[in-house]
Amino acid sequence: MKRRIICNEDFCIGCRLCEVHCNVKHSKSRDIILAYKYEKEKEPSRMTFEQKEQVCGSIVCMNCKDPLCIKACSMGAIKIEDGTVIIDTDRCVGCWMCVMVCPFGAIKRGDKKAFKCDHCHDEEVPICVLNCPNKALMYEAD
Amino acid sequence: MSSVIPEFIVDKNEDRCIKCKVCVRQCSEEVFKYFEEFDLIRIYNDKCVGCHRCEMMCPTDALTITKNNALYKENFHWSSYTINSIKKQAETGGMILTGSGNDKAYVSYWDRMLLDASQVTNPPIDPLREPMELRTYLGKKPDRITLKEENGEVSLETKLSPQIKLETPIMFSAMSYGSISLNACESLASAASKLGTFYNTGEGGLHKKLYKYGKNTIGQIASGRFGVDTDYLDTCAAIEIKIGQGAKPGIGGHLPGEKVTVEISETRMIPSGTDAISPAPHHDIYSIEDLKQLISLIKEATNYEKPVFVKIAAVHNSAAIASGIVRAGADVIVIDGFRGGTGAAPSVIRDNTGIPIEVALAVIDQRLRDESIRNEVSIVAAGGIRSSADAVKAMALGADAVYIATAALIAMGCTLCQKCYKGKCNWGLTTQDPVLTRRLNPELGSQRLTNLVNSWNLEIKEILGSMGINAIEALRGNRLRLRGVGLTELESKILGIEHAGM
Amino acid sequence: MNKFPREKDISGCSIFGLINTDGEKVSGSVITEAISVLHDRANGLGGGFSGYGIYPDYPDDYAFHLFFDSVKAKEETEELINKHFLIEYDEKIRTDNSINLPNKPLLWRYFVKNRNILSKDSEREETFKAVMDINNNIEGAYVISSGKNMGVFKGVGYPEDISKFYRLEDYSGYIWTAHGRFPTNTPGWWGGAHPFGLLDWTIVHNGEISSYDTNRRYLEMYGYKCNLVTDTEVITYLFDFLVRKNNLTLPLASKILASPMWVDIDRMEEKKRELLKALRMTYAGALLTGPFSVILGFENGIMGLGDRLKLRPLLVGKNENTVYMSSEECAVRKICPDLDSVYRPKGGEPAIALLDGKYV
Repeated sequence: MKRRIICNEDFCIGCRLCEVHCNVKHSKSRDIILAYKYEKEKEPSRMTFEQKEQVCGSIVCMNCKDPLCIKACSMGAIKIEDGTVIIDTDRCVGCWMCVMVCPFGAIKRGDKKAFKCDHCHDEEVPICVLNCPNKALMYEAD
Repeated sequence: MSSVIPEFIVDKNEDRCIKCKVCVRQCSEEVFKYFEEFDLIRIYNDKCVGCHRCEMMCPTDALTITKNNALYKENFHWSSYTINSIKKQAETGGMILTGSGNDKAYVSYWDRMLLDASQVTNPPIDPLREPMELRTYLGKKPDRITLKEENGEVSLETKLSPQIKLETPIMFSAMSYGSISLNACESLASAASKLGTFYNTGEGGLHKKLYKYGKNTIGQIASGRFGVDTDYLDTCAAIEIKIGQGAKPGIGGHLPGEKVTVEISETRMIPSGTDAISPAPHHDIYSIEDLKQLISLIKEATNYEKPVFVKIAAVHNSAAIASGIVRAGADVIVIDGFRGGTGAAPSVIRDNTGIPIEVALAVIDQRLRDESIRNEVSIVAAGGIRSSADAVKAMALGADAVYIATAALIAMGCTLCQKCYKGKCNWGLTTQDPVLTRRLNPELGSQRLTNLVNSWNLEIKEILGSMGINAIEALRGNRLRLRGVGLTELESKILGIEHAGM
Repeated sequence: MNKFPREKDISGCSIFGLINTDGEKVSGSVITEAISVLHDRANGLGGGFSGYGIYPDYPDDYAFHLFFDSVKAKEETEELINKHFLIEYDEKIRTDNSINLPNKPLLWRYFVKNRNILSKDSEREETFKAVMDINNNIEGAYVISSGKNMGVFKGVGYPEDISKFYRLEDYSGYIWTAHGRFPTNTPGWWGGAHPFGLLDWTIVHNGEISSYDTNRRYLEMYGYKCNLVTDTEVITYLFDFLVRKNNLTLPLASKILASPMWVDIDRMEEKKRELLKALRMTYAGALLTGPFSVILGFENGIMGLGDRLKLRPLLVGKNENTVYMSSEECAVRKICPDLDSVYRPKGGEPAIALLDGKYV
């Protein structure tokens, strides 16, 4: 089933714990202190946190119905599986076209490969939603 | 330079800190500051109010807030609190303000009363197997019911005074929009409606957004008369005249202009940015007969369809005052004990005025019975009810229901730092700062309040079952099921209970 | 007799009642035979009987049965009675002193008339006040029954011994109730025995009321002083309060004492719902919780009632013109082996048998 991670800006408290937990989840050790203080390989967070004056919120891949990134990818590395947009890192050549076209800024440049939120496909609820202290992030059916 | 020594020490464990800066973003008191140049989180202990928000938000448990034990030299008579207070007053020339309820070490009679349970001669009842009724109706009851007979069918002739129906004898006490955030108000309102009970608007009027919870709303009318109009009276299910508040008997209220946002000004019906001042007395109530007129006025305005509450602070002469209030026509009397909370009060008043709710409740209930007018009024006890056990003891002493507010705030996140008056509440409760108020998601707040009251309900049922009682009204005033421990003879007599062993 | 106990009295018990709905009288030995079957449900620390129609010579006088601790108490009581009433006749209650019972008080009965001619209601109210006055203000004097043409006989001992002691075989009545008591405290206290009587109400009671203090404090607002600290006293007063003072019928009074659950009230049709809701709200202080079954005796009938959770037994049996109520069937079968009908009322459902043959 296609689902989305949505941020209710009315209740985003700007703590950015979503980013922290996202980073830990996608680290090697999956341990917060090891991941932050000792692991060498680090990717920027998959969450995009934005703040303008008093309003803030976190954005991730919205799993568009007709994603621009898929159209833009010349390698056919991006596909939709079970409603979720997925980047096949084996095929990705790091041309960054997807990064350019994503209207949400949800695709990030990694070390030679593009990456984005994977909705924590091995978890029932994405880790950012699970750890949002004010339930501003919600995981909703489309 | 301030000569006041910081009350708290914020200790950060560098081995655990990942510099995620949650603490920097969350502390509204600006205890933490991040210097990018040095990649350093600098801590200012003197700003810490001990609310523990940072500690709870820190994902690596790197922060610990401790009391500054190195305050002043230990002195039984001149405590650190006293010395700091004097220094603050010497610096500012003002009254020391505080929030929440009296925190001083006065005796708690709740902790000196134990409950009875059934053994052998009377079976305890299992609330999972047998019905256990908590439903309570608040309002004036007639002394007797008269019936009429038509075609052999008996029906009711007496017309009952207006009543409100509670599915649990626990209600949320008055906290105004202004003293607390709209999200907090909405949490209370929505929880009350889910629980089949009531919340109270305080003197903050009723925000348009909350009109839909009107059936579960008690609208307060206090000395400032803020937000009172026809819609308000029509929407609320009951009206409460607030004479006094347990935390600050004899003291009015003051919402500073900077807190009076546009929305609050609309709700309170005052110009935005102006101070909202509730006078100490109602300026149309200088005596009991004036109260009677206001009660009549409200009843007239609400078409005699809504019960009228009168709330007083528990003071030395409460019993006689309560009797007068009943005779003035109130349907429900609310007694607020000295442990009751406040958004702001001079600490000298909060810490030194009033009497314990246990005592006030006991003497008022007895006084109304001595005068045979107990049926004419419901009694709601408020002020420092901490648990279902306190609530049960209150009802055994004679209360029909209890009000909780501090416990409700704690359920929504409050840690009793007592800085409500600063308007910077880190939990988004006692603040109007939009950055802070969004920290309380009403959906979460409502859920937590509902959980709290539901768990108290379960506990109350369990207690009733252990006493062999299966309806809350059979607990009401059932003082034989209470026993005192460590009470003097006089205290036992005042509370109307026997000592353990008797 | 002992002083009043300080604690609330607690006891388990056996109860029995019968009525001849045609008003034919039966000897007190009949009910003695029935209650003695339930010997094991008592422990010898309390037994008693009430009989209606037993004083045909003084049918219109209030018959006061009194326990006195001392001659002084008797003198004071008589002074008080004389103030309000004309004593038609008084005597020591006849007893068989060969029966050895402990702590016997001085037993006396008075047949009295009101000094003023009053309506029935105010006459009863006067009598009620006098009874309260004696019980509260005269040390060592206790009115144990105060109705017309009826009386309570009770004491410390097994019911069959109490019956012999009072020579119940000499009395005959159309209603009899009986009680065997198993108190867990207050041994040797005659006032704690059942039936408990006020005016023509008598109660025999099996169980313990967990709402006792709520009920007691409620009643005190309306002039009832509960000095005998038994829950039975409270139940008796509640009936007097609801039926005599508030003009409610016995079935409605039952719906107050053993109220239906709110969920059941919610489901009733509107008129009935509003009535029961109002009754429950108004008379909340009269709700009895905890286990009980009681048999209420009154001028023209008996009523059995059990608590709303049905925690104590109650059986109703009928044979021709006699209705029996008992905590156990064996007691009924002992004196009437063949019954036309037998049933056990549900919790909170009153079983009422009236003198004119009505059987509800």
